[in-house]
This record gives sequence, structure tokens and C-alpha cells, in this order.
Amino acid sequence: MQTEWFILLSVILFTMGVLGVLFRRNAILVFMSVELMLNATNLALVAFAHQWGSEAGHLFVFFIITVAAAEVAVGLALIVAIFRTKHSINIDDLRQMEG
Amino acid sequence: METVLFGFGATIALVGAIIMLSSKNAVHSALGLVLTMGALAFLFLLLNAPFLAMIQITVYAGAIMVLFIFVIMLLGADKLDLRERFPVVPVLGTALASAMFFAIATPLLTNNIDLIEPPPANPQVRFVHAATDIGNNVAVTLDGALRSQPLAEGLNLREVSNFMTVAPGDYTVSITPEGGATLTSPISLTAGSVQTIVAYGTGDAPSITVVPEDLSTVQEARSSRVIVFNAFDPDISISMVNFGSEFDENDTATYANNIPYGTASETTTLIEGDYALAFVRGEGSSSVNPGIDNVLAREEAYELERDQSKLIVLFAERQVDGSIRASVDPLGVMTRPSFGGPRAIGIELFTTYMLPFQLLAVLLLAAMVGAIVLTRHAVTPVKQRVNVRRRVARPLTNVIASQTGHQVVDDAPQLPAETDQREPSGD
Repeated sequence: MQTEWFILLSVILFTMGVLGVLFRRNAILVFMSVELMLNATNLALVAFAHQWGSEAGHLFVFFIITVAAAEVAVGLALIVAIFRTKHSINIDDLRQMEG
Repeated sequence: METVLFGFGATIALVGAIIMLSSKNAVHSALGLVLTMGALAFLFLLLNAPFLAMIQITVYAGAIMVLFIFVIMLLGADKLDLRERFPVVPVLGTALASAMFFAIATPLLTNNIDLIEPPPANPQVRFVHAATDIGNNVAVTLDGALRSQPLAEGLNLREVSNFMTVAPGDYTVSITPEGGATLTSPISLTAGSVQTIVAYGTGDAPSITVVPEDLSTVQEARSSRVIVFNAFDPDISISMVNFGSEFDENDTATYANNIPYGTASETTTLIEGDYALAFVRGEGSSSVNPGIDNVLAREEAYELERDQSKLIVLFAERQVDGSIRASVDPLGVMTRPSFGGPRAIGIELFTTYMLPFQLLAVLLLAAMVGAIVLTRHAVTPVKQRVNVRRRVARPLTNVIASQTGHQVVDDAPQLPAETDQREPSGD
């Protein structure tokens, strides 16, 4: 199986994640797009690990998944906290730093 | 076949991503992302990463997405408002994103990317002391062109050193018995090989030979590789047979047949379990109970674990009265665990990546505390109303009225009805 095809799919998914971050205005959807980008990098890492026959890439993916779980927990907590004060999670409404 | 499976997984992943990006309902977006993550888990399976595929499904498609959907439903944020931004933003965003895509995809599609093959691993080498008469406490060094590396120190008879990873090349093995002359032997170590140096034989000048071993993953389930090395007597070739249990006469087999002195047998793959092994003179016969005279040594209950590479050395052991007896030295070393499996990941995680693993644990703890702190209600201290008995005396007429149900005096002064209206809490 060609490693290039996996990398290509990974790049496509990453670009879609970037587009999501740029275009969606719902903060939760921006978060999901970040998750999509993380998943795309995971796919690239696993494809390279397969190419090299080394488990280091798998370990990195393992760490990325764990960090993503922590990031989602904190990020969603932030969104809930923002929603309480602003009653909106539209990121265009959140351009002021005042509480 | 793999290309078809890849196309299948990739299509599902892309469809999921498109659903996620284009759906107006946030719940549909979340479900599209679940689809993408499931497809990626499938692709991980194609890439020989079964452990990560399971982690992907349980952690990503399970835990993280449940969290997402939970927050979406909690906030009621599933319907989005679709106010337009400045029209220049989508154009600029698309341009930037496609520029990034082509910057990475162009070299991939024009085959300008250099996916080099990994270099072969460095050779591993260890030393087995099976030389009968040079005594205990042997020092072994491996002398290369540049430097001399100690392979073992204070090694006793029947003992084996740990594996040492060295650069490929030509070396000289130097064996120094305690108070004896140093023996040397040249060996050549090629990249990717795993070698065991065996010193064997009686007398002051033992022979030295190299037995290649195979530490790659054992493909057969619940099995181990076994190599038999004959270091017993120059005149005798040996065989290793299973002399069978007394309950099952058919439970006999010859595992290694007619191994000349100083050589190793072919690798046999045996299923894990208890074996009753006998080392016999000459040809091994599969018949039950080979002639007692022929049996040199026995291992009555030899327990073979799975995923091992076993080197069984039959060597000469000096008795107290000076005669020689055959003795068995089974040396096991674990083979490489299967690629991408939980065992391989675990070994890497708890050896090479121990510190990142612990830092990650601290990070998770911090994230947990952070999530709690962020979502906790900001508690504004409310002045506690002291619950004292009301001093206002009720008119007697009211007491009578409440007891009897009759309104004694109509125009008696009434307390204002208590309103349970709090101040609106300011956010």
C-alpha cells in the first residue's frame, strides 16, 4: 500500500479542518474542526510509522489522542463558561475581552 | 485489495468531513465527525496499528464525541445563526487553505517526496558460557576497530550475558578466565543480525562459535522458536526428542535430529506448554521411550512460554569425581512483540517514553482541575439572613382569628403579605 495515498488523504482532511476553523462561526464546530486536523496528523504519523516499521509514530499518536482529550475537556468547559455569561457561542460575538 | 479497502475508508472519511463542514445542525456535524473518526480507525487497521484503531474508536469516536454532543445539547446550540461575515473572509480563507493544500500535495502527487527505506537495525550480540573447564568469573570483551566494549563480567558457567547492541563490523571476542590466558576469536557482525557467541568444550582452550538467532515476531499463535546447540562431546551428535507422557503414547516427536558437535539445529517452532524433553545420542527416533542408554540428559517438565526465542545448549558438566555428564542450559529471550500491538506499545511506553507519559498524566490532571474550575458556578457570597424570631407582636385578634377561623375585627392591622421576590441576580 502506498504511503503517499495516506499522506494525501491526511492533507485533504487537514485542509478541510482548516476551512472549518476559518468558516464556521459556532465555537463548538471550530473545536470539531481542530479535532479533524488532529486526526489528519494522526493518520500521517501512523502512515509514516508503517513505512518505517517503527512504533515511535504510534506513540506520538497515542500522546496526541490523550492531549486532545484533555484539550476537549478544557475547551468545552470554556465554551460552557462563555455561554453562561454571553448567552452565545458565536465566535463573532466574542471579540471583546471584557467578561 | 488493499487499494480497494483504502478507497473505501478514504471515501467514508471524506464524506464524514464534508457532512461535518456543511451541515447547519451542529448535531449532524458531530455525527459526521464520528463517521470520519471511525473511517480513520479502519485505515489504522490497514496500516498495522490495531491498538491505535481501538483507541481511536473508544477515546475519539466514543468519549470525545459524546462530550461534544453532550455540550451541544446542553447549550442548545444545535441550530446555528447564519449571519454573514465580510465577503472577503471566505475568499481569503479558501485561498489560504488551498495554497497550503497544494504546497503539500504537489510534491506528493509528482513523486518528489523521498520516502526512504529505514536503515537496518544494529546487530545485537550476547555471550553464553558453556565451557566446562575454564571456571567461573569470566570476563568477555568485544574489541572493535575503534574501541573495546565489555560484553560480560564475572560470568559463571551456564550463565548468559545480556544482549548488547553494537555497530556492524568485524570484532574480536576476548574471553579472559579468572587467572587464565585470554582466548580470542574473530567474529563478523552484520546489520540486522542477532548473534549469540557460545564458548564450549572441555579443556583450557574452549571452542568459540556464533549462533544466529531470530528475534522477529513469532507469527504462529502461542508459539516459540527453539534452537538446540550441541556442545557436549566432539564424538557424539545429539537429537532432542519428546519422550512422551505415560498417558499418551502418541505424544512423541523429534524436534531436532542428529545435530553434530558445535553446531546449532534448525529453528523449530513449538506451541507453548509443558514438554518432557530428552537429549539422545545419534538419530532421534519418534518411538516411545528411546533406549535408556542413549539418553544423555532429560528435562522432565520443561515449560515453554510463548513469544520466546529459546536457545537450548547441551553442554558437558564436570562432576565432583572428574567425570563428565551432559547438562541442559535453556536460555530464553523474548522475541519482538507484534508490530503495533498493545504489548509493543506498552513496552515502548514504559521504557523509552516514560517521561513524556508521566508529563502527560500531569497534564491530564491539570486539565481535569481546569475543567472543574472553569465550569464551577461563580459563587457570590449571599448575605445570610439570620433566622431570629420575629419581634413584631401579632395582635391578639389575629391569633383568635387564626385559631377560630372567625374574623373578630375586620379592620385589625395586618402584616404586609410576605413576597418571595429576590433581586434579579446580575450575571
